[in-house]
Amino acid sequence: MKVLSLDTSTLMSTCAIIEDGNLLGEYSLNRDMSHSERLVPMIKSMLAELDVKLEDIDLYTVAIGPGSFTGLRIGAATIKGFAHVFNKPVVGVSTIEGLAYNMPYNEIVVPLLDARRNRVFTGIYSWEKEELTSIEKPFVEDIDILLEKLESYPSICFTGDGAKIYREKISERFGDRARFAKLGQEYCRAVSIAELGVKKYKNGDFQDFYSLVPEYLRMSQAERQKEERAEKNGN
Amino acid sequence: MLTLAIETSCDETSCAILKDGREVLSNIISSQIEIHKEYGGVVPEIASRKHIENINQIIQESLEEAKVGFDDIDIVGVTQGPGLVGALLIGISSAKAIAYALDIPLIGVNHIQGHICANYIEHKNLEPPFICLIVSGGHSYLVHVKGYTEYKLIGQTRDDAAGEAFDKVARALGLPYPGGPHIDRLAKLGNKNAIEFPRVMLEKDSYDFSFSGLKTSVLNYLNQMEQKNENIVVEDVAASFQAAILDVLVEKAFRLAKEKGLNKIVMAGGVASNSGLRDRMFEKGQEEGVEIYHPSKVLCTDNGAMIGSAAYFNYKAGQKSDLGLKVKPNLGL
Amino acid sequence: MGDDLIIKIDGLEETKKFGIKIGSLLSPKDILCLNGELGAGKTTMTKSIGLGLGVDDYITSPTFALINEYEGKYPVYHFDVYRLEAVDDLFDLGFDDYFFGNGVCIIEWAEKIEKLLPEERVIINISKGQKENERIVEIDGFGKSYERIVKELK
Repeated sequence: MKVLSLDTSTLMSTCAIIEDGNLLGEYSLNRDMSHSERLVPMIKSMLAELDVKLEDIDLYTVAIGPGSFTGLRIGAATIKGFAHVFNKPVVGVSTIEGLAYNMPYNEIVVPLLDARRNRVFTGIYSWEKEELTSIEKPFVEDIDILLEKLESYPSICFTGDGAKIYREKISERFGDRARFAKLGQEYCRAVSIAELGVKKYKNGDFQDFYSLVPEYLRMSQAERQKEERAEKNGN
Repeated sequence: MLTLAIETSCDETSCAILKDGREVLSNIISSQIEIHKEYGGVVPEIASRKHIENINQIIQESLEEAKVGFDDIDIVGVTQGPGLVGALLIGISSAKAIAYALDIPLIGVNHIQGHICANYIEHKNLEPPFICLIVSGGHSYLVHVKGYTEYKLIGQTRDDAAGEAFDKVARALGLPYPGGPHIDRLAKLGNKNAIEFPRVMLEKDSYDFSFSGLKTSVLNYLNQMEQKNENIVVEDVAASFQAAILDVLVEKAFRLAKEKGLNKIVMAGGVASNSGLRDRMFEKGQEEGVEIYHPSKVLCTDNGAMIGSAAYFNYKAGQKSDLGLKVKPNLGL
Repeated sequence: MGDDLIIKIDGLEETKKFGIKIGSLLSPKDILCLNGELGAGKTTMTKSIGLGLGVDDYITSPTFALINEYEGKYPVYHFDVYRLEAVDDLFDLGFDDYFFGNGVCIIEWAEKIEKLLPEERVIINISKGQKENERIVEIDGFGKSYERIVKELK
């Protein structure tokens, strides 16, 4: 089964093809304005190099967020377009999960994506045997509150652009308990989205190209106020 | 030749299938007006979210209604601009994906040119050259249309677009958004000579427009009436205000037609639906022996068919875009 | 809050000069809030500020568009948020991409979305003076840009 994957959640524009447990190819370009103009030419170029035709793709996977609202929609619209023409299934994969998947270590893995105003998109993961397990599914949080939350863990791997931005703060608090991703793992990689996508597909967790939409993950103010009220009432 | 055309420049998601630039096999439009009403107008982020939710459904409906499949399509047209960046990108991304998947040409289209081409769909025998008055919420242009893909921009607004002036006055009168159609409706019931609002013509030979002075004048009038505790007759305000705008639009359009020696004036854009404008144009057209054209109401609003028509004519003239098509939110004529 | 700076402007020429001056002092990531009643001249001021930023285009009030984007020396994002006052879900409007982006943001009626605004910003309040074309401009704000601009204007 040939799988095409895309991740346009961040400035890193990345696409990949995997086939039956092998990576055929991956293009990743970290450039402003990449998505809106260069995405389809990039995919076309990769497929041409690999001598693969779009109609040979059996499954389409895409990172559905969180991340840049515009970037997410460009990726989603493109994948939905392909899947629509060839009537193939699609799988949406969490961007945060994809980042965590880049780091198969015996530590707690915490991806951090900058959400501005001192906040990050994040999630807390661990590896059980060969499976990535979420201790806490993706959420948005103030960085200081998050770091407080992580205090109890003996050893944590941080990744994502947020890890770069808050590196000093993290090191101060965690010292040797904190490990940081290298350039190879720190960015979104389409290959991880592809692998996670195939897993989900094999578990029956996939969609059609009509219903796939990004998951923006920012709580609207109305939802936030609702939550605050619920907390006050001791829920 | 079958064109599949996508339009997502603002708050309408639309996909159409056209045959040879003038025959519409399907024109599916999903409007978000109800959603944006709460915000008093379009909110770009919300528009974009709705587009990504709807786009493939709309495309599918357009194919089914036209009774064709993807394999029957020859070219893909899409609005490149002007419009809201996030919204445009949905259409552009979908169009690129489809064009690449089918290995067929992609043509990026200027939304304003689309409005002009709506008339080729409506009037099968209409051919350039002619003068085109394009008036909508976002644009006010007077264009010398020399050929299917040849335009000369002669006049434009220096501040508010005509449609915007309508919407702002409507809001001041407490009418719901979008206000233009409400003003049109109320104007029929009022006296257009009740209040003297300025007709801003600008310099003697100018074909440009300026509506913010008129708008300010109406707002000042309403303020004064309120302060004096006098009763405001909404129908009269609507009629007098509308007359002031129409006087300017009609005068300039006809003057330009005369200057260029053309006897066809074509209207386009949302405000071309205004019955007052249509009546005035036809009336003067009869007096001066000028033919007046306008699209049906549906084709006046944003829609994929008009984009398909423009894409077809552009393609015939040898224009083609590549898969790296850039979005151009401020594209002019 | 820093010290308010209050300037009296007489006539359209002076208003234009003032706006151009402000525009020339703005740089990417700056946020300029323009407050004032209907007719105070926020859009007129924005036009001159645009000139100071090198914007060629006709600047018009984005009452319905919400945001108009222009290209000057830098990207210029012109907001009119008048109609967002009663809105619940302000945080999902995607404004952060602009506020924290690479351009200059000019926001008319900024006070209506106070909760959304980043802390560092320049706030200009325009009110009508005694005479018709007279305006009173109060400048307030937080952050390095604000301090730089106030210094230059003095």
